[in-house]
Amino acid sequence: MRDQPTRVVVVQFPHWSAYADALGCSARSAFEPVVRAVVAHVPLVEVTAPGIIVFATRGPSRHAGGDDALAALVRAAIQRQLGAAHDTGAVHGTGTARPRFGIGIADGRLAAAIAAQHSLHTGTPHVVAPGASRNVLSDTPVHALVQCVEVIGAVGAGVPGADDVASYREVVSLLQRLGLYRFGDVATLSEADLIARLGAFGRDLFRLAHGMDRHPPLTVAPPPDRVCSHQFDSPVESRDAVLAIVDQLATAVVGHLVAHGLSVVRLHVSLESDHGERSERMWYRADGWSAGAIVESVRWQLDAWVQHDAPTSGVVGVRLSPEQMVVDVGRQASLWGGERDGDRHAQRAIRRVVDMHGAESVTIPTWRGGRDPARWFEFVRSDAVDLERRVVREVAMPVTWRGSLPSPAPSLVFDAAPDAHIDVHGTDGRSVGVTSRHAMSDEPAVVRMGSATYDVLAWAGPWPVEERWWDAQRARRAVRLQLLLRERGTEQTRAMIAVLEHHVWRRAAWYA
Amino acid sequence: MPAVRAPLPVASSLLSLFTDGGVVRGRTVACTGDAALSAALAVSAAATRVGSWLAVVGVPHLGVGAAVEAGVAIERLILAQPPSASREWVTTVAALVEGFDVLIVAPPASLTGHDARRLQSRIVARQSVLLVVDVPGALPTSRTSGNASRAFVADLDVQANTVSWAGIERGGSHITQRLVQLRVGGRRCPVPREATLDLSCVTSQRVS
Repeated sequence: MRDQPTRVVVVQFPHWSAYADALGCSARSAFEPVVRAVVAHVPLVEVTAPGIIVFATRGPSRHAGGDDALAALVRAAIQRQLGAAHDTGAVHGTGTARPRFGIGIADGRLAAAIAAQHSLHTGTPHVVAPGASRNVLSDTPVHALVQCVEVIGAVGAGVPGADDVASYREVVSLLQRLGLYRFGDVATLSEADLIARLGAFGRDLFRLAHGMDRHPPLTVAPPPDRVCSHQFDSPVESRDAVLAIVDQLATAVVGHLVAHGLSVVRLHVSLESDHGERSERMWYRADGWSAGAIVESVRWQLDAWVQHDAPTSGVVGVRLSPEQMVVDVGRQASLWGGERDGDRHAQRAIRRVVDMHGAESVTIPTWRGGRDPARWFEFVRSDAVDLERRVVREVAMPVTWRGSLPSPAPSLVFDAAPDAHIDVHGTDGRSVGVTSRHAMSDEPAVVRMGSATYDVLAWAGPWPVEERWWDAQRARRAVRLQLLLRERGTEQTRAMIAVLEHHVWRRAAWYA
Repeated sequence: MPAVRAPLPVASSLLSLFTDGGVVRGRTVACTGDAALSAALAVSAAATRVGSWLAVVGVPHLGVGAAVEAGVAIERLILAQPPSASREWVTTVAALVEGFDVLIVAPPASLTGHDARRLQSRIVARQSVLLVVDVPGALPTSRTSGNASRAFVADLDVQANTVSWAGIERGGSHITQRLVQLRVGGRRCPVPREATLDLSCVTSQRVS
């Protein structure tokens, strides 16, 4: 074995965001008390995402008297905290059950995450003896990757989200089709074969299957002065002012590392108040931290600190120290000439608007493709996208997509909202129907939309939209019609796309 | 008096409409007509390809495919949906102005002239460009009021009307070409100018 994985504890709440939703608060703020309950016993934990806590066993385990004792200690602390939340009425009356969680201890993040999954079923912490993780892994189905996505990080770049689970599913499905059902099967393959088949993730998978961590320990010497800190002249009370400095520091740290061909995966952030109070936290992100993502995390840390510890004075010091770095595999935006000032200003403006009205007030288009124009782009909430990374990921976007609507594309595209219903009548005044062979019952002649009536001048189609016919639950059978219209009583021509689905016509797109 | 920056670049096909070599920064441009949204996208596209960010405000159903075809660099496009109360709407858009060189806005009906002017002065101070669009037919149930955009005092008026749809027949082919006539006038352009914009089959205008 070329390198040893770190022995870690993984605490995982599988349905944390659903639980937080039920409480009516954000996943992050609801998770904060749990983090604090653990921090009372273990000084430095990594919070990868709400619902996941990871920390190294080395110091804490010795302190608690062994891995089993440590696991029991953490479990008791969390149970106490959840119990307290229920008793104090924060949760009381909402009818929400206590969230389930698992605690796993093993060598390496993946094995520990799998142990946490076991622990979920048994209800007691699951400790894999030192050195035994590889054997456990070799019997574990590769499907476990999907459950462990938040612990081991996304396949590609970006915050683990629904897309990442989907890409893990693809990886798992591919492995299964190749007859590789367990990590033990994967471990029989050479690293080169896995890379050839799965790209950069193949290398990570090779390491994971062999019981190692995804990232090898850094063997090159880290660049000097990698710790970035700032001391304010006087205590600062404004969150925005602190974050503005964090933004500068983060940009400097990331820029500095990129210049050395590195990116940081584990970052220690410390905030200090004028009276010596401190908030310290370790942040982990498998695919490396961008400046924007660092600012988001510090925002979380700062909010939690102010809300729960209520420091008695303003912030006087901020310190970012990268604890673990990996050789940058070239996903960085900097390859394209670096982040410009304009990008930073735009990201800051987006953050301000999000602060005012919530993350869903700003959406960012992400390419998905497909036949239905309403699904070409998925609009992603601003907090789910790393704007800097996205710049690179979107560049090679194809514009034409087989089977999609012909160009020119409509400038307004509607989803299937209930108010989108329209009438499409034939020359005989009856609603136009379409047979299963895509023949129309009549030529379309009149379209009614709300109070407006349009005469049909020309039409194209109908084109079938049959998506996912192999999947009965999600199958869509619909037809699409492009219509050229003239508004009655005017000379104004208009073009639109109408879709017939379940015997109802709706407007799907509008050329504005 | 803010420092004068070079005008916002426009595509070469639109240069004849904007004599200053682009859209002079700080200006408010009102886009009307059935192709107002497409025209606004066409005007803003070139700037996004050289690093400017574009915010589209109040058009939740923007067809991003159309933006791509217009040549907008999607990686610098965002959509924002501020609350529709006049004061809050303006505060939000003013916050966006700090980071965005170009904004396409479909203002809410509640927008007052006073708030609109407040936003315009932010645009002048930050040297951005504001494109105000009428999106008729965006909500077929309530025919467009068209009044909201009148809250702004536009420097330029762009009228965009489709003059021909080619390719579509009674049951055959599909729309392959859309010609839009653009007419630019207004108080900063006393002599109106016209040009025809071709929104035909653009395969890929993308420049990386």
